[in-house]
Amino acid sequence: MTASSKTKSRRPKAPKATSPEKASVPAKARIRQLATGVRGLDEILGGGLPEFSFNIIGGAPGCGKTTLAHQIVFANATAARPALYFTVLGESALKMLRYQQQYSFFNPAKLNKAIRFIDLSEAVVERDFEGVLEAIRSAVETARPSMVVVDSFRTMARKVTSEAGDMALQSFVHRRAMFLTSWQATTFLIGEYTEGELRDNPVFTVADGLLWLTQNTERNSVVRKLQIVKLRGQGSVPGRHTVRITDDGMQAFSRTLGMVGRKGRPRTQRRLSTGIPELDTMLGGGVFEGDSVLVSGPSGTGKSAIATHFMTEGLRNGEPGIVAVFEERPEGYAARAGTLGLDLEKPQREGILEILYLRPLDLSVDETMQEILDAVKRLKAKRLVIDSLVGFEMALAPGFREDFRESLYRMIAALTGAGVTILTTVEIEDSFTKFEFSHYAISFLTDDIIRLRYVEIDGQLRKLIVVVKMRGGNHVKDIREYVISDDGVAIIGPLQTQYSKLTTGLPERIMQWSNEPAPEPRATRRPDVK
Amino acid sequence: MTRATLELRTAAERLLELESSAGKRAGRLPAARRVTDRLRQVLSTFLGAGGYRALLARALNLAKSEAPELSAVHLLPDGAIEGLSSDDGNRKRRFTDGEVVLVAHLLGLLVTFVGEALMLRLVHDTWPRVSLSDLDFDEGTIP
Repeated sequence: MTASSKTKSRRPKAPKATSPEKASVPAKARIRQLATGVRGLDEILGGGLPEFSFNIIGGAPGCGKTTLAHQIVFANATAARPALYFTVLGESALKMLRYQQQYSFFNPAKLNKAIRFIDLSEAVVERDFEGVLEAIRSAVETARPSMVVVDSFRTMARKVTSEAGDMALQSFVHRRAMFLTSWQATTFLIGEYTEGELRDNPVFTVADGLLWLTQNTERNSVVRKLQIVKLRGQGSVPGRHTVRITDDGMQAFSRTLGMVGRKGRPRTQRRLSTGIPELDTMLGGGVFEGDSVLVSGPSGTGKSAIATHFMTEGLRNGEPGIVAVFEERPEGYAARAGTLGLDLEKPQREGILEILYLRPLDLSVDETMQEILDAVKRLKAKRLVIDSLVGFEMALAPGFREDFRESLYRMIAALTGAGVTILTTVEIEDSFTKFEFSHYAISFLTDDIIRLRYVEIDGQLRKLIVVVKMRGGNHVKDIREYVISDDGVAIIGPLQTQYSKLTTGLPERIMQWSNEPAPEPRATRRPDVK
Repeated sequence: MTRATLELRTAAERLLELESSAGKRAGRLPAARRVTDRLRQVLSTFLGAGGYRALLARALNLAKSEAPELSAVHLLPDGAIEGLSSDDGNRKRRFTDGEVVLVAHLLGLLVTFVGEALMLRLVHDTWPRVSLSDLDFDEGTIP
């Protein structure tokens, strides 16, 4: 598909005719939106770049300004409607071409035909800004481009300002914007600006769009962000969005995860089995479809085992699923499920299960989310396991950990809104004075909470399970004991012996049932050992 | 010493051959002068005149170490070359070996900096009749 065929129109709907006067109301200006060729950016921009807009791409050196401009130009320029790329006393075209051709979007066939690079350095050095404007005007009138880039504009702005001051600069930019718009060109000025320069800069006043790129280093991690500070004529997604530059160029990750304007699926009353019949009973009949379930407990209590039961039960019922793991590789995860009698290998071969290993450091929540969302779309997944939140947080760049709770909220809302039922595990340490559900104070994000904990009884460290919260339905309040064997997780029948203070981990026996056996046999002294 | 590869020299010879044929009609300028002038028109647009002159100066520097007969050749401020001799005593050719080496190094630098694909595109845009697709330029000049 060509870039031009991807352009979209934002023609406002004509008002319904209720009277002869209203029926003749002329249509508003039609603003076509150009696809940027940058994955995720069109959604952030509110549909694409307004055609004929006059934009500034600003930010400190190394943020990806030139890469972004190249990507947009390569996505849109054609021989019939070419792009002019003016370079000014910055990175020479020779080096620019050398580096930019490493990206997959770079198409050498477009060079000199669809995209023409023009060096303006000498014009800027030798002539006044009227002469520079004339050089641009001459090239534009000859080529009749659909896009014009000036890289870097900052150099030019310095010269104009030093010669005649801010007013002359604003006049210069204004006249150029008028000229280029009249010639039906979408324009980008690239400039190295700091955030402090955003205010009171006459250049920014003239611009229709201001795309701001930042790059922050936190400890050993680098985090790139994009903000649409200004965009006339259409609503963009506010806030700072993560961007990443890879061999394919720039990719943007919208804070809304592409969920803007999408209607959430209505909550259903359908219950899904967890794959553990007694747990389903404790949940009042299973988990509501589209719920977010949190399973919390200390290490070794079987959170992943319960998550695997939940997933395999869905697969058994023909519901595709995604497991996002952070702490071990998919092969190891599947092998461990096998020791519980749960098969994650065959569903992977059949293409109804993907185990995503998301461990590289420096990940942002948005990138992780995008990977998960892509997989959910790819498989049309109905169930998602995130195992675990602690691993998820550790996989993030330090700068993103501060936003973890907010990001989790968006992630869970986006996924459950898409009708996916999520089971998330979180590891917590057992305290003998408190009964926490999670370190993240995220219980408000979850519909259902299942808490696991250790308890010491008769010299054994035994495991208890309780359903703490079940949004929209009643649930069993009993604290039940469970075991994990080769057959998986089994919740055993209610104990006959009664205890109090079970949630402290150090219960007190209230009433002893005579000879009630432990669910798993206690070690006994061998008769031959004295 | 950096040497122009056989492929680059072959490419240079094809360009020089074409320009020397045209030279019969266009005057008696050395073929390498006409080749570099045509490349100057294309490259100066996006490299700037200074950028092109710097590139050609480097090519000339490399070529002089390989072809001593270029010792008198120098660049004018506008990037044109001066001092070329069109006669090396080889009656079968209309350009000298030094000219071949100079143009080969200029092409080699383009391969080094912008890659084979873009160099071929530039050449094709300038001389649509010349085909270099049978040549493998690899990494440009041999260090």
